[in-house]
Amino acid sequence: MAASHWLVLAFKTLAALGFIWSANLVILYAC
Amino acid sequence: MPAERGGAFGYWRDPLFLACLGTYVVNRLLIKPNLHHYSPLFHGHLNDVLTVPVALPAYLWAYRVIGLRPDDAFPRWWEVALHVAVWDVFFEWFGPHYLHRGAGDPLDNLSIAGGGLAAWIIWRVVAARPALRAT
Repeated sequence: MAASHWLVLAFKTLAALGFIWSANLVILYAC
Repeated sequence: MPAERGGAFGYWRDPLFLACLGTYVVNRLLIKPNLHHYSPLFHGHLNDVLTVPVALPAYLWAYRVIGLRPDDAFPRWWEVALHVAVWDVFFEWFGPHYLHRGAGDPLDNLSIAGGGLAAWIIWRVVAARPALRAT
């Protein structure tokens, strides 16, 4: 239970970091 | 997505976001192409000032979809501050130094932070007055 909770949190954090990285690049190159 | 739980921030329907996005589009399509000389305001600082009110709602919406943001509250001070810090580093240091894109300028950092502070104050005022919120 606890392990799966942290796994889900880690996955969500990775997804957010991926979004931040991609969106920052879009802003940097497109704006 | 239940907008009522924990606030009523409209993300892409937020009036400040829409007004600032409109300002960016007008500057990009109408003002900048018609300027004959470099303008520090229209070619530089205006975009920096608009960074938080235009970009932050999109970022927060993404966190909401991912499941990291627990509610639809108006942007909290630390959410604004954290993104200003990340964008300052990314756009004024990482971009110019490692991607050779953009130019690091302390005034740009100040513009991003100033725009963030102004946006946060406006969001606080709107959050306190339900009549001003997006429907």
